[in-house]
Amino acid sequence: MHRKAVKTAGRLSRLVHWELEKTFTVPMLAIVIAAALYDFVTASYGAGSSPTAPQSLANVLDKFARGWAFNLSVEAVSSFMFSVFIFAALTSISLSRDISSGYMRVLLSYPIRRAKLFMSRVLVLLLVPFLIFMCTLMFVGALVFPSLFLRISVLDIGYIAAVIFVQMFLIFAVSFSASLYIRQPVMSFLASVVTLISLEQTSNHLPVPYNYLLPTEGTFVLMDYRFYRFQYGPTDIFMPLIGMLIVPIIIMIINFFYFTRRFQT
Amino acid sequence: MKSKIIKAGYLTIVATIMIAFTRAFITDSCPSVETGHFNVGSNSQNLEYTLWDTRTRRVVIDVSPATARINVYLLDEEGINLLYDEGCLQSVFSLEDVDGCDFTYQPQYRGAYLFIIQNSSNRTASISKRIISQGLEWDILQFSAVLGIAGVAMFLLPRLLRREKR
Repeated sequence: MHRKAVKTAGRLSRLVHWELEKTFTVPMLAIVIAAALYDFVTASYGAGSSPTAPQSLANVLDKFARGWAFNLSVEAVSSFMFSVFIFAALTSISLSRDISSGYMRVLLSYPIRRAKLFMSRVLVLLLVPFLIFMCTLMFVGALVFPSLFLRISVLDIGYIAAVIFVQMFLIFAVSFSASLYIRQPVMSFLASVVTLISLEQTSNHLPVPYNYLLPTEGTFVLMDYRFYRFQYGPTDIFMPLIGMLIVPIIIMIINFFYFTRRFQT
Repeated sequence: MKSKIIKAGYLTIVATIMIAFTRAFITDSCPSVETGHFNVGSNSQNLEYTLWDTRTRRVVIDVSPATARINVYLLDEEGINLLYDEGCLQSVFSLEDVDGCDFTYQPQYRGAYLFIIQNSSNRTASISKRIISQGLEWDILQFSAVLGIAGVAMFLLPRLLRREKR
């Protein structure tokens, strides 16, 4: 009986459920939803087209829908600052506080695999804010221009989601690392915010194409490549992919090995 | 279950406040102006498809030379369909044989509209057009109000029912 209870407690789904209940309390959810709405509800779009001959309504709406998708993608780029504060707060509340309060020591004394514990934290802390932001963006897209939103291609929506995820993944990787190594909630929050804002500000002063390595310029390059292609070609998107996807993956792999093999409370 | 409904109500109220206040005080707080300058040849026309939300539009069109005469038609989505399918001009607003205009139009829904400016004189007309968007998007505010009422109901009703049981 006891063995069965322990086995249930060690399941990834059970750990995810614990983490969800612990971190995403109502005030925290309200703050994340409010931040996402504040960022995206301002999206608006004034389009114009002057053809020489009358066009069908479907043709006109299709053209405008593409522009609406681009506008939504630009709103997604501007979500960087909100994401920084949200991920820094979430990781410091979830990880640093657990370590500093001794809760992590209690958790690790149970027969729970460290890898599963690590994965449950990553899944919850990364995916829940991402899903809230994406749902809010879709909601705003449908609220402001419902007829255009229905005409946006699924691939465009998927692309916007993928780029938002990439941007959030970098922010998450830095915040998670700060929380894991600093272990003090307030200090890790400040360290995450200062580091990420400094990275973003510094990248603005780097020469082309190195400034594409980091958000928000890198995010804009990725969005622009799909929707408008003003000045960025296929070779330009490698820089943001290296800086915002490959580097965070490496950071998270290092964090994984540190947490599962070296980490002591 | 009841506590979950109360929490959902609380989150709905937060979302409602954010939608209504952000839209009313940030996006719609000041008028926005779109301008355009173009020439329309003699006995020809200019088409411009635009995308409007439900804010009030003030349209100011100046024509030069002053002797030129234009016809202005504004078509909604139904009119656009009719024009394309049957070649029939059915406008929601029109002015004929004028040397400029200044009118206000309240769009009934969000979507595509078509401006047709016809030059009925036998000389090229230079058109200067300004569209000023002002006021609030009442449809979004109405939606927020409905959402807010639903949120308050979800927030309060389970508490009231609990009290009655006691």
